[in-house]
Amino acid sequence: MSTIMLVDDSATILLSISSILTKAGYTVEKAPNAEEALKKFNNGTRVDLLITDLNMPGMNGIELIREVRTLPSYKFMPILFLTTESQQARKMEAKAAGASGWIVKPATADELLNTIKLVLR
Amino acid sequence: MSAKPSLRQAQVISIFVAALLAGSAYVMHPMLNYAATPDRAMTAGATLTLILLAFTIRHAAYRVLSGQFLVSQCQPENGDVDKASLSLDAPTGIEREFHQLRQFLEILCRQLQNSAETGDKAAINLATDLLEIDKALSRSGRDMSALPNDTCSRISEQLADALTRIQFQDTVNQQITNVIQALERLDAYTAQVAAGIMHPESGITHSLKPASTLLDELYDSYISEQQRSIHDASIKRAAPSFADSRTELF
Repeated sequence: MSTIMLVDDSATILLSISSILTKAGYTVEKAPNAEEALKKFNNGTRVDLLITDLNMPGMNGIELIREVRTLPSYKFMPILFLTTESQQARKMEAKAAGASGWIVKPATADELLNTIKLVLR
Repeated sequence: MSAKPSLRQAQVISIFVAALLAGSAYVMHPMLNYAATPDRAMTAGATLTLILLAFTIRHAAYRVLSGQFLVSQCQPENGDVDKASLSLDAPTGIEREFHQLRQFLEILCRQLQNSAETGDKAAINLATDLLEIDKALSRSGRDMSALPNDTCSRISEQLADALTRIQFQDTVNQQITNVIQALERLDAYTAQVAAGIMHPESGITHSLKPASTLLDELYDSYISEQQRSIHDASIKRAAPSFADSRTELF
């Protein structure tokens, strides 16, 4: 089964979303901020999908995916944003940075799992 | 020194504080309704804290809007309003008003911060408890054979649903953080206005950015369309339309 890296500064979101993903059979790598996630990517952690928050203290989600896209192993890895933001301009910014999709919080388990299936196909 | 500019500055501050507090109350309102809905997963303690906080903000906003905040600071002990003391011309009176206004803002920020932290802890505890119940349910599946066939799976689905709903805490937390940051900006602005009034020779008043800039900065700091539409509705501005799809693939 695929490994999903989940990046969010909210412990509640990490707990809630990772439980949904684990129950659906995915392996979850959690990171409480972008810097921590980047460390794991630089260490070569196997990740099939990155799900990240947009607004986080320090490096934000868009900055994170710009960095991740420079790493050869993750150039074509699907990346989803899971965020409260739904402004079109931010979505376009994320798309330009290399994001594959956008999910607005709070997401239902169905919304989340269906979107994941689509991008991992 | 002319008294009129001082009074005008104080009035501008009062109106801006009132607008911000009223805005905060409106921002909190839909979230509180969400949290207070019985079928939502939230502990009673955290919900109560948020509701009390909303009442406090609304009450404070009402007091500032109706002028009670500034008037009550000037009320003599015998209960009669001394007309002369209501004047904001005297530097000491203005200084006291600004000092208390800044204390008021600082207390609000701390209360909001405390509520955010309380809500966070409650949500994490609740999520942890739900996960434990789910695990226990899975382990005892065989012992529950006396129950109707789909009972276990229905309970498990409901637990998963409750876990999903806990995500609202993150939205509440982000919006509270947003209000705190706005109050801090207002505090800094208030300090500048106070310094300008207290020391007119310094020229600070002339370099002060207009209050409308604060509103624009507040708008730029929003992190959701819900916040933007509340802001637009508050100032009777037509909100820009946006795609309401919750998921989108690029």
